[in-house]
Amino acid sequence: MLLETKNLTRYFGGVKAVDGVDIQVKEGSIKGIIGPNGAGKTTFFHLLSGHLPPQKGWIKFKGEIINHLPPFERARRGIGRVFQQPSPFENLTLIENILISLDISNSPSLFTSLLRLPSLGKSEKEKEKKAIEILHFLNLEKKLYHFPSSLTHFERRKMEIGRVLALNPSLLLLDEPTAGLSYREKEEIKKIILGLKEKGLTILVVEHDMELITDICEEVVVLNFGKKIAEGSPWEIKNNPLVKEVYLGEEYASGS
Amino acid sequence: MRKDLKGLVIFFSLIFLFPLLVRNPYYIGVLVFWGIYSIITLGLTILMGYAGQISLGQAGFFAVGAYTSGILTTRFGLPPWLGILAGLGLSLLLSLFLALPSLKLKGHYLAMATLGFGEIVHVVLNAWVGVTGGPSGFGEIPALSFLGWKLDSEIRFFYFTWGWVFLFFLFSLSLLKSPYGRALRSLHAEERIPLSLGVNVYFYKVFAFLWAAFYASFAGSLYAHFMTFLSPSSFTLILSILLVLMIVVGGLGNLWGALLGAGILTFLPEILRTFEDFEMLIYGIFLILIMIFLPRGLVSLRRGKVATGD
Amino acid sequence: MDWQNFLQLVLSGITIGSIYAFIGIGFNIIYNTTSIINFAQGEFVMLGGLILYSFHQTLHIPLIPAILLTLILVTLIGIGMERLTLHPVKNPTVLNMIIITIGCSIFLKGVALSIWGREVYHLPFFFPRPPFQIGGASITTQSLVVWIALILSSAFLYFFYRFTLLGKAMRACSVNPVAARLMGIKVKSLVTLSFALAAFLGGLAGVTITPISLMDYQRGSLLALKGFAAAVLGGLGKEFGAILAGMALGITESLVAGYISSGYKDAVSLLILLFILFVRPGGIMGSKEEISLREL
Repeated sequence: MLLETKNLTRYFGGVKAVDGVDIQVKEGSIKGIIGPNGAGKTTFFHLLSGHLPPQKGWIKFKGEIINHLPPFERARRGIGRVFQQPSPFENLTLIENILISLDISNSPSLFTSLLRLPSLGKSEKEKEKKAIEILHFLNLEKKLYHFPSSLTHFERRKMEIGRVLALNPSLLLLDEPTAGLSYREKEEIKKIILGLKEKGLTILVVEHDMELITDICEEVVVLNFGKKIAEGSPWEIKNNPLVKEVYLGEEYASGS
Repeated sequence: MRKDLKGLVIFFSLIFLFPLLVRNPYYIGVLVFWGIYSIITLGLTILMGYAGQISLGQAGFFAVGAYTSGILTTRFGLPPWLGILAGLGLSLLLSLFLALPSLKLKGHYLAMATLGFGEIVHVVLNAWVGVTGGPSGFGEIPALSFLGWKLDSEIRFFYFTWGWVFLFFLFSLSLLKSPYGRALRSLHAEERIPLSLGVNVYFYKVFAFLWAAFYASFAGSLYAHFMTFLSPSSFTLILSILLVLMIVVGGLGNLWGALLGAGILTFLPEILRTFEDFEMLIYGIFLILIMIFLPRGLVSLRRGKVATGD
Repeated sequence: MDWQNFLQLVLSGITIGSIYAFIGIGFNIIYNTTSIINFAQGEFVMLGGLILYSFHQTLHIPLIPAILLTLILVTLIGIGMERLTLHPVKNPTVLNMIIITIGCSIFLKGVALSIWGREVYHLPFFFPRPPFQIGGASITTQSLVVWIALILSSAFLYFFYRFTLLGKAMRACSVNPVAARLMGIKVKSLVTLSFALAAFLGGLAGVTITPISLMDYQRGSLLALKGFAAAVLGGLGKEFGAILAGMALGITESLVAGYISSGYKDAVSLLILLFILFVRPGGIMGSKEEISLREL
């Protein structure tokens, strides 16, 4: 198990946003998380990435309990979170946005940087090469030196993924990666995700697009009001009566 | 980077030619002040323009650098370079005490905290009469010596100061072009974003504060040995505010803007000599107008789009 | 223990604390409708004192009309400040707003410097009677003026917020400006009103305190800082927290000045400000959670 949670709980005042959720994510797998709005999916991600502390339960990553690690520590250990709303650094160019993440694992000392010693130049070149590789994988190599404001929504989405990939994560948390995208763009994202799985990444994806979930996920978890109400293969989930009632709706299940 | 280096060479050549063309020691002295203020603004623009923080208390660090150096050399007879180092050390320590708790503070709260710090320093300068000489200050601060060369004239101090401005500018440029600079620039965004990418936001915020305090303190020590006399009236809240004002007017987050801003801070009072009483008024209007019409500062007039990391 | 001395210090602490309270309330009012900290708040106090001097001492206008004219003028200045500087800004960032109010502060200081110079100005007590004696300590008539002004202002604000439509609208604004706008409340006018109120209160503070502690062009900043400390200590935005906090601050300062050293008394308030900001930005009446949740 790459990631495990047990009885993970977080409440705000009287509302249980995430209520005793247990999940296990196998290394190299793609797991989907679905549920109606307000089910606690994003809060669950906040707990995994460290942006919110849980009040009950634990999270184990690579066998270690990580409950108290701050977000940047978790990022360094290999948990990469792609947020729902792309938030690139507007004041940095596309390639610089990627370089920020690459800097984490390859950062020369202050002394070297200030005096511009040769090892600085070497590490900068290495990182640039890696950044271009990543952007190439995402079909963004033509806009290296553009600022995010001149990119389309789709390109900003992909850049967001690129930033996280540059951290060399082992677990990728994708929060609604295809929201607001056209059919063709969704297909491209699907290809990218499958490509990442091939490279050995483990992926947790929150989505509303059932077709996408069915196509790429091996297993799906369904949340409602903070609780896990179902888990299984996409086919099992689609035919689960409780899930149909709460989220999918009768027509959808019978239609496909 | 290359453009900046070219500009650097041209600009500093002109600066270094200046005392040879203009012999009047008064004007050379004015340019020394430009140099000293530039060192402060170079540091402050990293903190405000890059790390996106605000400090309305830089006059406090300027004072600490000046007074530490002054007191240690006059009262304890220590060599000036030791005084400067001590000033730097004390300023770094104080800025650490200010920066660490400030990590959680945003915008207005941070502004007020730094304002409060600057004022506390000012109060202490006035009240601790035994050490600082109180409101009347103290004098007879020895001149600096550089490699055996005594810096007791305007022209010598001029070259010394601007030599340091050049070095500090280069260091700042190096910093910005490096991974450190990228991380600092990422601090403009909401904290959670660089955090989620593994950037230790807290480290960089503190770093930026220390950097700005370092520069201000060094400038303060230069000021002390140039003026040879110190009094609390040179280290007021108004100075802190004017420093911020000038960074903003020159262009936040732009090293050239910092030099420009410091220049305005130095030359405007000279130009307005006849209107001395209206000086503050004019600063105020200037500031307000710039904020309304040119929020990116004067530097944005030159290029169409404000290039960052320049 | 010299109780007389202690009482004397406490009483004068209450007086100066009232001024901090006035300023703190002013901060709260503006903060509530705009989420801005008005760095020029102290300048309203300064102008109150200096303008009254000009009307009353220089132009020999009788006291009560002079006070009224002063308050009207300071209020207009507050309105002017909002209309001319904050209103036109298109995409206000926090930094922009801070800098603009600082610019106004400098501008007003500059105006004061040009008109009144660097001298310190003095006004006579409003009621030229000898001080009252209570328990061995004396209270001057001017101190009473300050206290009564604060009590009346607070009462007015209380009724205003609770019982008038305008006041309720302002409270709605502070809680949720978008919803307020959707309900037909003219937020922009309320912003102007809040500046007017804050300016009025600042001017009132200046008018009442100048006979006691004099006034000069650059006194505004330190007062503003301490008033801000009162506002934060009492919970920024909680209108009446500033009153208790102001008193506490004033009394502490007075005791420090009396028992330890008067040179450092200003530093004490500022250290308290820093302490509050670092440890409990929600103030005594607020909570730590408030601030952190707001950030997510």
